[in-house]
Amino acid sequence: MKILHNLNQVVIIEVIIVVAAALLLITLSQRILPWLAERFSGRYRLYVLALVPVLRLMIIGVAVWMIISKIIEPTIENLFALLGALGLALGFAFKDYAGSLIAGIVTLYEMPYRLGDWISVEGAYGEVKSIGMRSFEILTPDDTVVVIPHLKLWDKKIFNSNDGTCNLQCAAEFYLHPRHNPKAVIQALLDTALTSSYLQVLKPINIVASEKPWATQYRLKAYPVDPRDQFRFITDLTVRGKVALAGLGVDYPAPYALPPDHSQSAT
Amino acid sequence: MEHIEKKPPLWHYVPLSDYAVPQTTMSRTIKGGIRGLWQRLRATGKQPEDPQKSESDLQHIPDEVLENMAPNPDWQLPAGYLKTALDQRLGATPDEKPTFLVVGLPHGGNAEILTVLARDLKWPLITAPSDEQILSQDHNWLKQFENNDTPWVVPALERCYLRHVHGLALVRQLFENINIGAMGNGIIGCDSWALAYLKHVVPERLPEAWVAQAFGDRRLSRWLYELASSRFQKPILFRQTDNGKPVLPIEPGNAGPDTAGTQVSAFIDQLSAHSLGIPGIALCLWRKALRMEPDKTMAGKPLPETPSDLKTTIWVLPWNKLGHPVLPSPISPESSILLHSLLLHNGLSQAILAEILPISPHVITSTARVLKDAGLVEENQGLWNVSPAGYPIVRQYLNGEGYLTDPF
Repeated sequence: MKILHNLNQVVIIEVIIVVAAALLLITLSQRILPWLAERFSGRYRLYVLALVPVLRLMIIGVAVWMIISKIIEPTIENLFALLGALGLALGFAFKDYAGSLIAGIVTLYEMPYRLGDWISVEGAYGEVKSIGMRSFEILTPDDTVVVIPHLKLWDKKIFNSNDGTCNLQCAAEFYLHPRHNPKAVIQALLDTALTSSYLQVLKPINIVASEKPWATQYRLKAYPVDPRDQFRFITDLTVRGKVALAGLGVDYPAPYALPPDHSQSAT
Repeated sequence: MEHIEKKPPLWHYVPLSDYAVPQTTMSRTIKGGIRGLWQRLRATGKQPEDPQKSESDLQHIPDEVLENMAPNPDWQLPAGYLKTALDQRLGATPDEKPTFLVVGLPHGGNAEILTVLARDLKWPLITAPSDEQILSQDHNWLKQFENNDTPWVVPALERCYLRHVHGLALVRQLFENINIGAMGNGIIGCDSWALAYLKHVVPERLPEAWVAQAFGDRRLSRWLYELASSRFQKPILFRQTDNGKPVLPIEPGNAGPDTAGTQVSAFIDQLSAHSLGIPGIALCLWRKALRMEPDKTMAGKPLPETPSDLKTTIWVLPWNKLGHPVLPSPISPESSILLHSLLLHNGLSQAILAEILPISPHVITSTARVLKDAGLVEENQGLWNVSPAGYPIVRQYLNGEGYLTDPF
């Protein structure tokens, strides 16, 4: 059974041209589409960003098919033989690498994260900036790039805060002395959110109160217009919320009673 | 006068749900979309070329002449139509003493119309509280509403609140008092953006709302003609520079632009759709489009000071040569929230912007200057506001970004 074509110089040059063209197209798509997306912030930005990995997979698929058809006789038997040999090699030598590649393809239709999403994986929180075949990169609020292999998709929890939309809920936390007027506090916090310039007015505002051993905790939960403004939004809610509560004469719990970690967070 | 009576009124007040934004044709929408996309992609922040350069044989019309040819509207007329609409509404339910909201779009002249109405009918005109009164939640302001035998008028509700944690109490109390019947009946003018926001702020049921119907192409054509005729005695022929066709009707009589089947020029159709049917915006763009031929007999002499010195043909730039403001690209988050705040309040002073925005005062100043240079905002009597020419693009941008906008 003859599997391979005659690999003469012409075939090799053709393969090199296909590979080079595919690489060029992938590079161009990875540069042009994010550039284009920055011109269309808001929901249109996310739509354009979502095209990047899909387009790349299509280019790779077409290139691989063109190369295979040039190297081997494209019969069913030959394809099975080639894929079997490839699978065996990958299974032994590059198990994790191959797992990441396959997970990378799975992400394209399951979409656990997309470009522009704000996700948390094993304690790393940030915006998805690029999605490669083996891994993806997130940029944390501290301007640190974290490279995460797609392999995490199989067995780790991935928290996606906005899931391909502009709706990202934020929470500002307030700890008050238990002796206060809760109705007035809730109204003040509600007005704090309603008057924030970053607020997405069309989404609901929720206030959750809970009693802690050291204080009464209020969580003011609302959505910013743009997920990228989440930290500005939380800061704005916190700063103006404190001013509003001070206007009510609400006391804060004594500092020594506070837990060691009570910072505000995006949920 | 008989033929005038047959025409539908220029100003037509309708319930809020009946408001219809003028539409343009699909091909023009696509062309406009492609042009907008191109402007965004260029990302140079460069302003379009001054159309005068490509129309070298024409010149701008002097302001004093323009003031007669396309004068500011006389608000007496819409005030009369509003009074008629309210009388008809009250006539249907004579036992009621309701309060009405009269909603106005930015640059639609709503506050001016209500002020004229109140003065003409000698109804008490409620002055807006000062910024200090709003922020100190001074309920003494509400005493103005008490003991009125006639309906009271609040011309601009958007001046009665601030998007500040202490800036909502007065307006909430006002609507609470209205709903319990403690205020008598009255008319509240409210900007459409402020109303969109206050619907989320005021827990009370809001009064029945009316709005002046948008100026569609036919009514806009007639309105612009009547404005030109009101002060300019000679008949004027408005012709488009690229094809010489008339932009407004030559004779406004029975065959005027309100008559069904009368052709409306492509320019007016575009103007009506682009300005969202808002008369103030349409008038601003109309003035920008007008050109006149230089009078050769007047070479070396000062420009004419009276309309009678002008020729009777006035040239109108084609729509695609009329320069429109362009958003700076990329636009900063500070610019977005500044523009949005200005629209929610229908204009704010620099001091109040610094009070309500989470931006430092010097950033507000520099951002406002950048937007002013782009022609998107303007400063008038200490108030910053989105300019009439900039409003359509700013509204489109904020809507695309997901900001709360008015429903029109």
